[in-house]
Amino acid sequence: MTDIVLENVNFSYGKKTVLENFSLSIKGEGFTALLGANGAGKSTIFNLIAGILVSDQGKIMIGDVNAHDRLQRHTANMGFVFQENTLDPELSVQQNIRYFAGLFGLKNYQPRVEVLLKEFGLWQQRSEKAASLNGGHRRRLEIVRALLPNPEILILDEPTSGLDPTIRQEISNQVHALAKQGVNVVWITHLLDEIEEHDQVILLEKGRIKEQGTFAELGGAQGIKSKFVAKEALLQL
Amino acid sequence: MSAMRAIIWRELLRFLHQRERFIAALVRPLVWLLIFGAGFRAALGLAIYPPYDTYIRYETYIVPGLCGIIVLFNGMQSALSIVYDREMGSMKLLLVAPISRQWMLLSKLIASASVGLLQVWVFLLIAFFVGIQVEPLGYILATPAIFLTALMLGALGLALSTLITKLQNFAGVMNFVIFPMFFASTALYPLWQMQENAPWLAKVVEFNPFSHGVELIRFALYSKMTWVSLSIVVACLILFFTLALWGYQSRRHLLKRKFR
Repeated sequence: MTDIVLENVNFSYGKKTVLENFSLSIKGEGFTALLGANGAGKSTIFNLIAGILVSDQGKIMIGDVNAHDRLQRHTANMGFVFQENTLDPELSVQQNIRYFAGLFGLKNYQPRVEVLLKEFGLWQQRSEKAASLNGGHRRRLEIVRALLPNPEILILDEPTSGLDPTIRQEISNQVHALAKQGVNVVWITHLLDEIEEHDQVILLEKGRIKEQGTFAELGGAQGIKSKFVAKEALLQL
Repeated sequence: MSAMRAIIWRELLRFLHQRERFIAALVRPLVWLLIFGAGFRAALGLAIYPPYDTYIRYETYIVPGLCGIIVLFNGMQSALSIVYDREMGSMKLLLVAPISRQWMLLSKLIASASVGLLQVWVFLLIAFFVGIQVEPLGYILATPAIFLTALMLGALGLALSTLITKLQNFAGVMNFVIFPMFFASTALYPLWQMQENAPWLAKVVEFNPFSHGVELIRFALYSKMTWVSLSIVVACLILFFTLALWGYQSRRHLLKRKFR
């Protein structure tokens, strides 16, 4: 099990400080939701953990490896689903997967591709170009791609943004199922209806942790909403 | 190596899928060759000048320059695609891959040069069928010369892409780079003619690395070597790529703004 630990991290965009002396610990199991309104620092945390951004100060550990080292070498056991579409629209589903497998140096991945594409309902579309997939299928393909290296940690940045509620719920259920199978899922969102009762929730506000606990411990959707100043920024079920 | 192979494979596949880009890449030099070349054949007299051993038609003269313009446009277009990927967020996938940024940029550069080489081969094939031919050995020797020139111009594009923060700014930079480089070079007229008619321009042309890329290709097509041009192309490739690496390392502030 791989824990994610941020210790006294400072990060700013130019003169705008986003994280100051920020510390966070995510246990290496189950489903953890990083919940906050826009500007809370969620995507910055994602990018720091992913190694896309480098903190100004502080330490970011993934298991016993410093994230700054991982930037070059050790992202192979993590799966990332980005807020933006990072599929190549010109390539087919299988070609997108092949490209990813090459980038991550994966070998003998084909049997797993078939299993994952079937599990996520993409087997029929395997020869279609990514550009012709609907939003839900694209998101699922990004999740399949992220799961290909059999990662210990799956981290998703607002993976359901722009999707209709039914598809959002389906994707959320599928990812929750992965967490039950032992994947350490970190789900970044501002949508309360994607969180289940036993999920760990970390409430973020203006670059600070406001509160954390299970969804139930925090009083569910109503309890969480009442803790925020900018309540309207969190959507309810 | 697996990551480099994947990046090259993706670029080639994308290029083959984008038929419009393929056609546009070929139409541009073909218009120059078939229309501009025919029109200027009568106006421009060409003396016997290395690497040529005899009088040549104007169309024959401009073929190496047109090979150069293909790889120049391709290099800039690849740089544009990096700016686009950065702007759209799809660059993130590359940034989380377990490869260094240096290796990523080198892979991108080789991928771009491979696409450029592919375009030039198709162009030379068409030129062959319209009667502009060289010895078979010339085609073989020109291949590394074209690839090296493509690498140099691709590296220039990469270095420029570090300076560009917005996609819309790129078109302006391309106009300020592509056209001056092309017109102030030996692609369309030989250096000796400029030395006679516009000595100042001849000086500019001599300092233009694109001229040396074109000359390297020209000499190679005729199974000859110009060591001066080879040295300048290699030196510029190293310089531009170093600048690109430095730019991508030192522009973390830009990444911050981009990936907020």
